[in-house]
Amino acid sequence: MLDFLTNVVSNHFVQTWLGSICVHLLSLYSDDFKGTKPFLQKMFPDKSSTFYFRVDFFILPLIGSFLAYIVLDPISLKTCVFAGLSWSGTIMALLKKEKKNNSLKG
Amino acid sequence: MKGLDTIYIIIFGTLGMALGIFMRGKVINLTNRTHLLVKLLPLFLVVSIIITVFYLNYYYKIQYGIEVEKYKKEFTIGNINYNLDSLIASNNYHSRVTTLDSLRAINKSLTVILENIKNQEKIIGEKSDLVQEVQKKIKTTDFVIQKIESYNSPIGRKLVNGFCISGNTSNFEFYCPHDTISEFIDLKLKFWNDSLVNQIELIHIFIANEKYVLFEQSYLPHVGLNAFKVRNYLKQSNVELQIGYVLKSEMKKKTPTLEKVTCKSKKR
Repeated sequence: MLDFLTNVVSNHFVQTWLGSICVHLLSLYSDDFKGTKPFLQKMFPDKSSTFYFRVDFFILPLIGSFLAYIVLDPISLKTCVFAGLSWSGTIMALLKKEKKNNSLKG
Repeated sequence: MKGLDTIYIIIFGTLGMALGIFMRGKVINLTNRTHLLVKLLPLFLVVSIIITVFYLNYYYKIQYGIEVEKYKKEFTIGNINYNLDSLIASNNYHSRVTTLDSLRAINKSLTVILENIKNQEKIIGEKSDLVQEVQKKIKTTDFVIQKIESYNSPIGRKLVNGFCISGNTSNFEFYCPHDTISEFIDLKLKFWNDSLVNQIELIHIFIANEKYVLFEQSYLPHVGLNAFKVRNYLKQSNVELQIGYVLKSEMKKKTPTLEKVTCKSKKR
């Protein structure tokens, strides 16, 4: 069991995903940040706010970690976690900027 | 507690907290100050993870440095400049056992070092150059161990009162060496009937010229190919090599009979 856990925790993708989860947890302190919720509301209308929150919680760190893992190809625990942190952060910043632009246009 | 065990607590704590927030399905609202400490816990765990990552990276880099130092030490010990042929041909039972023991000990510690480096790789990233180097060193040491073990083990002097000789026996296969250049030669002997090996006390090699005994040594027999490395006295002229076996039943006699084959160097 411990070997299995060690293998899971030692996996670079899991470490990158952990970084993404961390930054996503931090993003939950911000009321302004909507993440992928506006997109999800268009794709799947008339769902509860909990549904959008959960799907956003699931896919945003996953996209961030996937991009970080593919593009940065991290090789150690430190580079993996920070790749996850930085790429998820980048995606969040892009989504936030888009939201601001949309609100300015509106 | 090991470094990886510590990170489990923080990682699973954070993941548990993430799962809790996921199930709750709401953002964390700090404007409402009720349960403020619980609300700040995710922030605390994220900061803990970042600190832990830095700490683990620092800790494992130090551990890696220690393993590299250990490897350098083992490498220096394993590279003691000895001539393997000379060592095998020395027919010193104690030096053979000591060398084999030290080589096995080196391989054991190299295996531990390799395992530790592989564990550290999970944190500090791949160290494939060193891993390959250690693996190569383990293989080389294994090869040396197998080479030494492939030769029959010498035993103390048992034929103290000499021995009688028979005519040339046909119970084993042996080809006289014709190498007159090499410093050491390999003698290989194979019994036709493996069941005979159980009845044999020792295999004896006797090399002499017209005046002196040049070499005399007994060895333990074993099933299959029996191999011996000796100095190439057959480079000299008029040297006679006798190789044969003494049965267990013969050892009770004062001068046991050596069932042998004789080879002679060319007269010049």
